[in-house]
Amino acid sequence: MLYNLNIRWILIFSIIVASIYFIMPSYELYSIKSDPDLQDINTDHLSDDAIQLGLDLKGGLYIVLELDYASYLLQKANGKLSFNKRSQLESIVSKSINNALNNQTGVLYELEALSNKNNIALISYYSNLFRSPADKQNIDVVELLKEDRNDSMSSILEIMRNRIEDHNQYGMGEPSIQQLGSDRMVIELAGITDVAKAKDYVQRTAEFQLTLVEDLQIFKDLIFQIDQSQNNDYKLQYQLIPTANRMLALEDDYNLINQVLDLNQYVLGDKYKILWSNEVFMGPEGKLMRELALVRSKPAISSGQIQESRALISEFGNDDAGNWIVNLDMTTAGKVKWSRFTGNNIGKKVAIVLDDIIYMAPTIQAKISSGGTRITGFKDKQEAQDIASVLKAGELPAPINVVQINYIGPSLGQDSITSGTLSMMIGLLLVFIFMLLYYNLSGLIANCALLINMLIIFAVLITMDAVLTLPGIAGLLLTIGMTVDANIIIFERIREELLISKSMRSAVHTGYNRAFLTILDANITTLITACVLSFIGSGPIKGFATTLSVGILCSMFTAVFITKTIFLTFIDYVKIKKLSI
Amino acid sequence: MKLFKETLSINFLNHTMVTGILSCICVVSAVLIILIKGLNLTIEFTGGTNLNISVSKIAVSEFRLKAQQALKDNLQIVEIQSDSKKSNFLLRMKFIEDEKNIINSLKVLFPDLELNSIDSFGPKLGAELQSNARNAILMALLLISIYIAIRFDRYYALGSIFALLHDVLITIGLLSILNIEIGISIIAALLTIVGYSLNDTIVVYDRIRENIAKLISDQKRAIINRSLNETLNRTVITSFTTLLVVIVLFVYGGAVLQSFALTLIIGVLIGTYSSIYVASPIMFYFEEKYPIPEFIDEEA
Repeated sequence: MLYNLNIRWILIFSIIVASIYFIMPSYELYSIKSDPDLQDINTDHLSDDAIQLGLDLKGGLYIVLELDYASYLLQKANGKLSFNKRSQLESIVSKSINNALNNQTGVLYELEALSNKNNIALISYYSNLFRSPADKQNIDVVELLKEDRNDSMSSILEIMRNRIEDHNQYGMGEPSIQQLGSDRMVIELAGITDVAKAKDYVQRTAEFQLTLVEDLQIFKDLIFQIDQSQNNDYKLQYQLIPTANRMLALEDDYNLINQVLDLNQYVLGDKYKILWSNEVFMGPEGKLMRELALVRSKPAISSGQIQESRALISEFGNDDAGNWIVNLDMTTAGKVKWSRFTGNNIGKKVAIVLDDIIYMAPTIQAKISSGGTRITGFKDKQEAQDIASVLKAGELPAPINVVQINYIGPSLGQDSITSGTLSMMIGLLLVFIFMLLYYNLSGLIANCALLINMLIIFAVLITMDAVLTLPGIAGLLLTIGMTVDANIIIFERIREELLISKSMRSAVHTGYNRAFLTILDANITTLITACVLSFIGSGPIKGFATTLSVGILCSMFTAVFITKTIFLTFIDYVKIKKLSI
Repeated sequence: MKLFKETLSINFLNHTMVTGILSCICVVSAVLIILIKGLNLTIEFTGGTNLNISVSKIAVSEFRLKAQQALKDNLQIVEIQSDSKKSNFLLRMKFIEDEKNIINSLKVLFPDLELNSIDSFGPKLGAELQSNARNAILMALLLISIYIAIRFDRYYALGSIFALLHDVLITIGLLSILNIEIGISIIAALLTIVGYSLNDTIVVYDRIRENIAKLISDQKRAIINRSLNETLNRTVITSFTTLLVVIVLFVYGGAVLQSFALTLIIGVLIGTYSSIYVASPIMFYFEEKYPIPEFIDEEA
């Protein structure tokens, strides 16, 4: 293969030059970044071509979200189901979710299996999905649900993109959002510092409603009914504190009251909902209190009828001047509905509800035909902006759950970079010294090959758009230790061949020819394990598998082709008398 | 410089009585330890939440007392890498979707609390990753044995699979004794060991195959011994350079990579041993004991 040394050298040099060309932007970028005097230089043009660091090195949030099947499947069901029917469906769904967990399968698959096994006709719950539900089998229902699930996932993804791109205060650099399988997505936000807020922001369903607040008397009556229907001693009427025009409760009782309300949901039927206000305030006896309200389940206006939303500071002249508010604008259909609704309910209160929390409940003063609405009551600018952004991006078609979170703080990431670079340097140095001591000048040739190998690996990683992670650095380090193996095999072989008194030239040739197959065989097995690894690992471990595979592949070129070229050049052109090996 | 003289001729196959018993004892006790003591899995596999925080210098017992009182929840607290100014703790608890409350209540107690990292895996994901990891190891073993069976023959494949199981089982046993948590990074290390140990084995096998073709008249036993001796230099030196880098990784690689590096150190040592004393002797043993008729015809 390629006996002409000139051609070999041209090939080697062009590969080195190309590698340096690919590495230059990264080198420039990271030397600018590490120099405190050069902080204000704009590096945007470099970062596209530079090697990207993984979240474990630059710090950030990696979050995996999954469709919340429990809510999704109930939400898709016929809204007119009786209470009994609904709880039946609830138990079927929760069993399916459980089975999916135990059998490592999909929830919808288990739903179909479970219904077939127990002779449950799914169509009795999902007749609303079909125009002619008469002869639909379970498989038809599940197929339709699958389709709908896929649609929902793509729209969730789209909404997430809009939400995150809309304002970039949750990260520096490009956020990344990707679908994972059929019902998950991965969001990567680099450089964030407030995890809790970022998480709330992406996870929010953003179900927005303007809905009528029912009269306090109806609320009291219902509470009385709930108390009568349950036979334990805990009575809501003793916990709730009605005032002249609103219902209050102690913040300490929040969880307990919610439990009771959940248990007695059926008393309310599907006409009413009891919701909490977002605001906690200091009551008369120094205790924290919160307001509850009874509202209509069917909203007057919902997310679909919102056209535009903006966070801004309320102007002078309003009673909330100086505070952050969100201004909403409605679609034409929304305006018509809103004007009719406000006209019919003058003097009553309307609740502004986001994700089942009441932000405010102003009294309707007059018929509103402009469609403009303002929400107030935010803590700070960020809360107002968050809500404006999620409203603009739209409501998620189904809620999502967090299944995995990895957060790396900026200092920990920096530590990893430092220790990773340090161990690379030390590892490289030790191997260099050892090879030089053990194989003399031939060791030097192997070291050159190793350095060129590193150069090529980085260039390949950059062109592959691979992300460098901490395990990836470990993979590089391992490559250093393992790829000198190719040279060790060759050198040992040449030594053996020299012993049986072959000429220098033929010893080198035989050494390389014999060793090559061994090296190939040995490296392929490592490649197999690295490939298998890249299928199971998530983010960081994939980086390890990638660098290890790239490293081994490149080493086949550097450790064999380059070192042989150097040997042959020394023998044929420099005419050395004795191999230093 | 040269490690072993070219006249070196150790009769490796004569040691197999001793090393065979040694290996058997190690593997059996490793399996027993794994069965009795069980494996210490990370939250990646069990589901759970790990919070890595630092606060200004405080004794771990004092921190534990304060934190347990404040949080009430069941949580484990481990101290990791503290310096003179700061204490670094790992809080481990069952999976929570929202760690906000815990952080907030801790912040009341320790106002200078700094959140270094969160790792949180839902129970469903844990079960999934567990079965993925199991499949990956089985898949790797299968693919490798197919490859060796094609490139060499089934006796070689058998020998290398025995060597791999030997390496992986003993390494996992040692991890269990050392109380090292097994997570995805350890699985990666184990797979790397599989690749590495095989690398060693194949170099020896290659030499055996070459010598069989060259020295037709010699006995198989002599050929194997000769091949092991001829490759000994390479085996030891490569293990040395690999050990060099993984020890560097262990010492300088930081807390995140420490158990990963330790697993590799153990694996490289055992893998080197097994490529000499397990893979070839097993291959030799099975070929002598259970020869395949057609195969002998072919050779003859």
